[in-house]
Amino acid sequence: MKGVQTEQEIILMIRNRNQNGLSHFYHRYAQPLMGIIGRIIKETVIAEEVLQQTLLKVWNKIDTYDPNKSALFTWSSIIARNTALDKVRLAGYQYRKNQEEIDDHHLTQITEQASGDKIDAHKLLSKLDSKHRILVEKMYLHGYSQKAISEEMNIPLGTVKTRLRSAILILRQELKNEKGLFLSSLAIIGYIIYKLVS
Amino acid sequence: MTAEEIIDSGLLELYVLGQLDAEESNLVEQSIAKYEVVRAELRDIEKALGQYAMLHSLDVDQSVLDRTIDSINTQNTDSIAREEYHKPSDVGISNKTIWSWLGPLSAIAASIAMIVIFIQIDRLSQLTDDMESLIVECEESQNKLQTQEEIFAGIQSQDNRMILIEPSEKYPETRLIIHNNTVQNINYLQINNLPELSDGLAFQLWSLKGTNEPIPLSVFRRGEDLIIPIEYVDNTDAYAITIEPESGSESPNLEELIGVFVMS
Repeated sequence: MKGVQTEQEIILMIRNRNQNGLSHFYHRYAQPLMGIIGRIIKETVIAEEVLQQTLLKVWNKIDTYDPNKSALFTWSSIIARNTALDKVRLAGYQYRKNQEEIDDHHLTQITEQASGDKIDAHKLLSKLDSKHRILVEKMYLHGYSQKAISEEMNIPLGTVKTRLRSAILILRQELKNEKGLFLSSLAIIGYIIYKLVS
Repeated sequence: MTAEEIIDSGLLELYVLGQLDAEESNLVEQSIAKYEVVRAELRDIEKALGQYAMLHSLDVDQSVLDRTIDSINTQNTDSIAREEYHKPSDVGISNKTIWSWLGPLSAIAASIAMIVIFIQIDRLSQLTDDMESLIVECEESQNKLQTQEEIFAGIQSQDNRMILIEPSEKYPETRLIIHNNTVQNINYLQINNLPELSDGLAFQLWSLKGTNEPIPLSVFRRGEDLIIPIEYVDNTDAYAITIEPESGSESPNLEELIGVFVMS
């Protein structure tokens, strides 16, 4: 299999029914998609089954995907979330994971795996206060609707929207800072090497 | 809604989460298409949430991919199998098509058969005609041969005598002989040389007896045969040949006298 493919190349390969395209998609997105599915469904076997269904849907529905409307991951994460929620509904909530089960165990592991991104997950998420963090987790990772959040957290719908927006703005800002810090570090290292060599 | 209103509304975040209804999604998609700033904002939100998802990734067993690929292959096989399965209906369609074509095809086949039969009948009829004409030709040839044999027998007969024509001054080159058989009462005219005839004219034979009016006899044109039978008139003193209209004349045109056979 050829090395890293661009998102456009992956889309094209899948559209051309090239299974390597799905392999590239899998290696790039299967873990974050599993992060979403696995937080909705507690049974790993069932969660993997849902991931498999998600991959099949991506493969079968790729022609309906419009890159002008959303990124490939956004599109597939919605598929993953909805497929998991459908599974839960069909199984009468028996697979539903409790909110309380969310812990930092996986987060820590993945952060180590994702260290290539040079993003400190704990630091990033620590910038979110609990009310924002829970809201993003529930909505993004657990697939809660605005209404469900509103009812569970006993806050108005408008507040749900505002908090979600605020939480994402914080994430965006912190990501920029992290990247800026990373680039700054690279620049400083480059400068030191340059000075040493000269 | 303006670009700013869309951005501030929080709809973009919900759009990325897939939590908008069709109408709201439409509104967002129209804004994305219309405003660059909305597109950029959406990309930033997607990037942030994507990164957030990356941070919350969970391990996945490689077997999930293998199973998915297997499912796709099975799906393809099933699809092929379904196509094969549906082939009976396709075949049904084909059969239907065949049945629907069978009528016209039969008609065409029948038409071709009719044409072939017609051609064969026509050919048979033509062959029959050819055969009949050949039979007629054969009979004619047989008659002709018989005539020739009779002529030959008559000429060879001891009772036969040959009378040379006495050509007229106008046609001195004429060479004709009458084979006269008074026992069998037959005459044959042997044609060696005759003048050329214009269209519409023919030679006519005359019987001359004493001072009587010439008796008109057969009218002929020079054909392939060198010896032809001519009328025998008993007690004829002489036979004469003139050029007359091809329908024949009642009295000879002496201006066009070819010559005279003196019999006595």
